Amino acid sequence: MNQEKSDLPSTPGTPAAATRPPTPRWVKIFGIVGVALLVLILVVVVASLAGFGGEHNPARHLGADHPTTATGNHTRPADHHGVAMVDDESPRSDAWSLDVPARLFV
Amino acid sequence: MMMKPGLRTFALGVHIVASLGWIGALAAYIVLDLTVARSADVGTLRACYVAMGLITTWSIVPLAFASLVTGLIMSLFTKWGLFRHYWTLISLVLTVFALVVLLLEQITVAYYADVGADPNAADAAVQALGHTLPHSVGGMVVLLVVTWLNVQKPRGVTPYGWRKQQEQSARANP
Repeated sequence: MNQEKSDLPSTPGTPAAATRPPTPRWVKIFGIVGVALLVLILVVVVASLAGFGGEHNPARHLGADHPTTATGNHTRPADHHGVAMVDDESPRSDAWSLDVPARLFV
Repeated sequence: MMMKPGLRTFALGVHIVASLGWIGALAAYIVLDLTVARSADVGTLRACYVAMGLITTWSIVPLAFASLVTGLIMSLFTKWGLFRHYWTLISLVLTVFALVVLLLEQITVAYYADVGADPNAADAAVQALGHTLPHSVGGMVVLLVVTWLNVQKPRGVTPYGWRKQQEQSARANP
Protein backbone atom coordinates (compact mmCIF):
# COMPACT_ATOMS: atom_id res chain seq x y z
CA MET A 1 0.00 0.00 0.00
CA ASN A 2 1.23 3.47 -0.77
CA GLN A 3 0.40 4.71 2.70
CA GLU A 4 2.51 2.01 4.25
CA LYS A 5 5.39 2.77 1.91
CA SER A 6 5.18 6.42 2.76
CA ASP A 7 5.91 5.56 6.39
CA LEU A 8 9.00 3.58 5.59
CA PRO A 9 12.29 5.22 6.63
CA SER A 10 14.69 6.66 4.15
CA THR A 11 17.91 4.88 3.33
CA PRO A 12 20.55 5.54 5.98
CA GLY A 13 23.20 7.91 4.84
CA THR A 14 20.85 10.07 2.87
CA PRO A 15 20.06 13.53 4.20
CA ALA A 16 16.39 12.67 4.78
CA ALA A 17 17.31 9.79 7.06
CA ALA A 18 18.56 12.10 9.80
CA THR A 19 15.46 14.27 10.00
CA ARG A 20 12.21 13.07 11.43
CA PRO A 21 9.19 13.72 9.21
CA PRO A 22 6.85 16.44 10.52
CA THR A 23 3.65 15.56 12.36
CA PRO A 24 0.90 15.01 9.77
CA ARG A 25 -1.79 17.64 9.49
CA TRP A 26 -4.59 15.19 10.32
CA VAL A 27 -2.92 14.43 13.66
CA LYS A 28 -2.76 18.14 14.48
CA ILE A 29 -6.45 18.50 13.62
CA PHE A 30 -7.29 15.48 15.77
CA GLY A 31 -5.30 16.99 18.62
CA ILE A 32 -6.99 20.38 18.40
CA VAL A 33 -10.48 18.87 18.19
CA GLY A 34 -9.69 16.43 21.00
CA VAL A 35 -8.39 19.14 23.33
CA ALA A 36 -11.39 21.34 22.52
CA LEU A 37 -13.80 18.50 23.32
CA LEU A 38 -11.97 17.69 26.56
CA VAL A 39 -12.18 21.33 27.64
CA LEU A 40 -15.88 21.36 26.78
CA ILE A 41 -16.48 18.20 28.80
CA LEU A 42 -14.53 19.66 31.73
CA VAL A 43 -16.58 22.85 31.59
CA VAL A 44 -19.82 20.85 31.61
CA VAL A 45 -18.63 18.70 34.52
CA VAL A 46 -17.43 21.67 36.54
CA ALA A 47 -20.67 23.53 35.81
CA SER A 48 -22.67 20.51 36.94
CA LEU A 49 -20.65 20.18 40.13
CA ALA A 50 -21.13 23.89 40.78
CA GLY A 51 -24.87 23.49 40.48
CA PHE A 52 -25.39 24.82 36.97
CA GLY A 53 -26.93 22.73 34.22
CA GLY A 54 -28.46 19.93 36.25
CA GLU A 55 -26.99 16.88 37.92
CA HIS A 56 -25.08 15.43 35.03
CA ASN A 57 -21.52 14.57 35.99
CA PRO A 58 -19.46 11.40 36.38
CA ALA A 59 -20.07 11.35 40.13
CA ARG A 60 -23.71 10.53 39.55
CA HIS A 61 -22.69 7.01 38.59
CA LEU A 62 -20.76 6.36 41.77
CA GLY A 63 -22.14 8.08 44.82
CA ALA A 64 -25.22 7.55 46.90
CA ASP A 65 -26.67 10.72 45.40
CA HIS A 66 -27.81 8.93 42.29
CA PRO A 67 -30.51 11.16 40.79
CA THR A 68 -32.89 8.28 40.27
CA THR A 69 -32.88 7.28 43.93
CA ALA A 70 -35.43 10.00 44.44
CA THR A 71 -37.95 8.15 42.31
CA GLY A 72 -40.23 6.31 44.68
CA ASN A 73 -39.20 3.74 47.26
CA HIS A 74 -37.16 1.58 44.95
CA THR A 75 -34.13 -0.07 46.50
CA ARG A 76 -30.68 0.26 45.04
CA PRO A 77 -29.65 -2.50 42.60
CA ALA A 78 -27.11 -3.91 45.04
CA ASP A 79 -29.87 -4.52 47.59
CA HIS A 80 -32.23 -6.18 45.18
CA HIS A 81 -31.96 -9.95 44.99
CA GLY A 82 -35.42 -11.12 44.00
CA VAL A 83 -36.71 -12.15 40.60
CA ALA A 84 -38.21 -9.12 38.95
CA MET A 85 -41.27 -9.27 36.73
CA VAL A 86 -42.95 -6.72 34.57
CA ASP A 87 -45.72 -4.91 36.36
CA ASP A 88 -48.90 -6.98 36.19
CA GLU A 89 -50.83 -3.85 35.40
CA SER A 90 -48.76 -3.24 32.32
CA PRO A 91 -50.82 -3.47 29.13
CA ARG A 92 -48.14 -5.72 27.63
CA SER A 93 -48.13 -8.25 30.49
CA ASP A 94 -50.88 -10.34 28.91
CA ALA A 95 -48.90 -10.88 25.76
CA TRP A 96 -45.53 -11.57 27.26
CA SER A 97 -43.60 -11.33 30.46
CA LEU A 98 -39.99 -10.77 31.30
CA ASP A 99 -38.38 -12.99 33.87
CA VAL A 100 -35.12 -11.25 34.51
CA PRO A 101 -32.97 -12.03 37.54
CA ALA A 102 -32.04 -8.65 38.94
CA ARG A 103 -28.56 -9.88 39.76
CA LEU A 104 -27.78 -9.69 36.04
CA PHE A 105 -27.73 -5.97 36.32
CA VAL A 106 -25.65 -5.62 39.44
CA MET B 1 7.20 -11.21 17.64
CA MET B 2 5.08 -11.40 14.52
CA MET B 3 2.04 -13.61 14.06
CA LYS B 4 1.94 -16.18 11.30
CA PRO B 5 -0.29 -15.17 8.37
CA GLY B 6 -3.05 -17.67 9.18
CA LEU B 7 -3.19 -16.67 12.84
CA ARG B 8 -3.04 -13.01 11.89
CA THR B 9 -6.03 -13.42 9.56
CA PHE B 10 -7.99 -15.21 12.28
CA ALA B 11 -7.16 -12.54 14.87
CA LEU B 12 -8.07 -9.79 12.41
CA GLY B 13 -11.42 -11.47 11.75
CA VAL B 14 -12.18 -11.70 15.46
CA HIS B 15 -11.19 -8.06 15.92
CA ILE B 16 -13.44 -6.90 13.08
CA VAL B 17 -16.39 -8.97 14.34
CA ALA B 18 -15.97 -7.66 17.89
CA SER B 19 -15.54 -4.03 16.84
CA LEU B 20 -18.40 -3.94 14.36
CA GLY B 21 -20.50 -6.00 16.78
CA TRP B 22 -19.92 -3.29 19.37
CA ILE B 23 -21.18 -0.68 16.91
CA GLY B 24 -24.19 -2.81 15.96
CA ALA B 25 -25.16 -3.46 19.57
CA LEU B 26 -24.79 0.23 20.33
CA ALA B 27 -27.03 1.06 17.36
CA ALA B 28 -29.74 -1.19 18.80
CA TYR B 29 -29.24 0.44 22.21
CA ILE B 30 -29.62 3.93 20.73
CA VAL B 31 -32.98 2.94 19.23
CA LEU B 32 -34.19 1.99 22.72
CA ASP B 33 -32.57 5.09 24.20
CA LEU B 34 -34.43 7.29 21.71
CA THR B 35 -37.66 5.48 22.58
CA VAL B 36 -37.36 6.12 26.32
CA ALA B 37 -36.50 9.75 25.58
CA ARG B 38 -39.71 10.23 23.58
CA SER B 39 -42.23 7.81 25.08
CA ALA B 40 -44.42 8.30 28.15
CA ASP B 41 -46.07 4.86 28.02
CA VAL B 42 -45.06 2.94 31.14
CA GLY B 43 -45.15 -0.47 29.46
CA THR B 44 -42.89 0.72 26.68
CA LEU B 45 -40.54 2.37 29.14
CA ARG B 46 -40.26 -0.73 31.32
CA ALA B 47 -39.57 -2.96 28.32
CA CYS B 48 -36.99 -0.58 26.91
CA TYR B 49 -35.13 -0.13 30.20
CA VAL B 50 -34.92 -3.90 30.72
CA ALA B 51 -33.73 -4.41 27.13
CA MET B 52 -31.17 -1.61 27.50
CA GLY B 53 -29.78 -3.30 30.60
CA LEU B 54 -29.55 -6.68 28.89
CA ILE B 55 -27.94 -5.29 25.74
CA THR B 56 -25.40 -3.34 27.75
CA THR B 57 -24.47 -6.14 30.13
CA TRP B 58 -24.43 -9.05 27.71
CA SER B 59 -23.57 -7.48 24.40
CA ILE B 60 -21.99 -4.02 24.46
CA VAL B 61 -19.61 -4.48 27.39
CA PRO B 62 -18.29 -7.94 26.35
CA LEU B 63 -17.85 -6.80 22.75
CA ALA B 64 -16.08 -3.65 23.93
CA PHE B 65 -13.58 -5.67 25.95
CA ALA B 66 -13.15 -8.13 23.07
CA SER B 67 -12.52 -5.26 20.68
CA LEU B 68 -9.91 -3.72 22.96
CA VAL B 69 -8.11 -7.01 23.64
CA THR B 70 -8.05 -8.14 20.01
CA GLY B 71 -6.96 -4.66 18.98
CA LEU B 72 -4.05 -4.83 21.40
CA ILE B 73 -3.11 -8.26 20.05
CA MET B 74 -3.31 -7.05 16.46
CA SER B 75 -1.10 -4.09 17.29
CA LEU B 76 1.51 -5.83 19.38
CA PHE B 77 1.99 -8.88 17.17
CA THR B 78 1.98 -7.26 13.75
CA LYS B 79 4.24 -4.73 12.05
CA TRP B 80 2.02 -1.85 13.15
CA GLY B 81 2.92 -1.81 16.82
CA LEU B 82 0.99 -0.02 19.51
CA PHE B 83 2.83 3.31 19.66
CA ARG B 84 4.58 3.47 16.29
CA HIS B 85 1.82 4.98 14.18
CA TYR B 86 -0.46 7.84 15.08
CA TRP B 87 -3.57 6.00 13.89
CA THR B 88 -2.97 3.01 16.18
CA LEU B 89 -2.16 5.26 19.13
CA ILE B 90 -5.23 7.45 18.65
CA SER B 91 -7.42 4.37 18.13
CA LEU B 92 -6.16 2.95 21.42
CA VAL B 93 -6.77 6.19 23.34
CA LEU B 94 -10.29 6.61 21.92
CA THR B 95 -11.20 2.96 22.55
CA VAL B 96 -10.02 3.09 26.17
CA PHE B 97 -11.87 6.38 26.68
CA ALA B 98 -15.08 4.91 25.23
CA LEU B 99 -14.73 1.81 27.40
CA VAL B 100 -14.24 3.82 30.61
CA VAL B 101 -17.31 5.98 29.88
CA LEU B 102 -19.26 2.83 29.02
CA LEU B 103 -18.38 1.15 32.31
CA LEU B 104 -19.41 4.26 34.25
CA GLU B 105 -22.64 4.55 32.29
CA GLN B 106 -23.39 0.85 32.78
CA ILE B 107 -24.06 1.53 36.46
CA THR B 108 -26.82 3.97 35.56
CA VAL B 109 -28.27 1.71 32.85
CA ALA B 110 -28.30 -1.25 35.23
CA TYR B 111 -30.19 0.82 37.76
CA TYR B 112 -32.72 1.96 35.18
CA ALA B 113 -33.21 -1.67 34.10
CA ASP B 114 -33.67 -2.77 37.69
CA VAL B 115 -36.32 -0.13 38.31
CA GLY B 116 -38.03 -0.95 35.01
CA ALA B 117 -38.19 -4.65 35.85
CA ASP B 118 -39.39 -4.14 39.42
CA PRO B 119 -43.18 -4.60 39.74
CA ASN B 120 -43.08 -2.65 43.00
CA ALA B 121 -41.70 0.43 41.30
CA ALA B 122 -44.41 3.01 40.78
CA ASP B 123 -45.27 4.04 37.25
CA ALA B 124 -44.32 7.60 38.12
CA ALA B 125 -40.91 6.39 39.25
CA VAL B 126 -40.36 4.62 35.93
CA GLN B 127 -41.46 7.68 34.00
CA ALA B 128 -39.09 9.83 36.04
CA LEU B 129 -36.07 7.85 34.86
CA GLY B 130 -34.00 9.49 32.19
CA HIS B 131 -32.16 8.55 29.05
CA THR B 132 -28.50 8.24 28.18
CA LEU B 133 -28.49 9.74 24.70
CA PRO B 134 -25.46 12.06 25.13
CA HIS B 135 -23.32 9.08 26.11
CA SER B 136 -24.71 6.59 23.62
CA VAL B 137 -24.65 8.93 20.62
CA GLY B 138 -21.27 10.31 21.66
CA GLY B 139 -19.97 6.76 21.97
CA MET B 140 -21.22 5.96 18.49
CA VAL B 141 -19.35 8.97 17.09
CA VAL B 142 -16.15 7.87 18.81
CA LEU B 143 -16.50 4.31 17.49
CA LEU B 144 -17.11 5.53 13.95
CA VAL B 145 -14.00 7.68 14.15
CA VAL B 146 -11.97 4.68 15.33
CA THR B 147 -13.42 2.59 12.51
CA TRP B 148 -12.46 5.25 9.98
CA LEU B 149 -8.90 5.31 11.36
CA ASN B 150 -8.65 1.52 11.15
CA VAL B 151 -9.92 1.39 7.58
CA GLN B 152 -8.02 4.40 6.28
CA LYS B 153 -4.79 3.88 8.23
CA PRO B 154 -3.66 7.47 7.62
CA ARG B 155 0.11 7.84 7.35
CA GLY B 156 2.28 9.25 10.07
CA VAL B 157 4.75 7.67 12.46
CA THR B 158 5.27 8.81 16.01
CA PRO B 159 8.72 9.90 17.20
CA TYR B 160 9.03 6.49 18.86
CA GLY B 161 8.03 4.72 15.67
CA TRP B 162 10.48 6.79 13.65
CA ARG B 163 13.35 5.86 15.99
CA LYS B 164 12.41 2.18 15.72
CA GLN B 165 12.35 2.41 11.95
CA GLN B 166 15.78 4.02 11.95
CA GLU B 167 17.15 1.26 14.19
CA GLN B 168 15.69 -1.48 12.00
CA SER B 169 16.98 0.22 8.88
CA ALA B 170 20.46 0.55 10.37
CA ARG B 171 20.50 -3.15 11.30
CA ALA B 172 19.33 -4.14 7.82
CA ASN B 173 21.94 -1.93 6.11
CA PRO B 174 25.00 -1.79 8.37
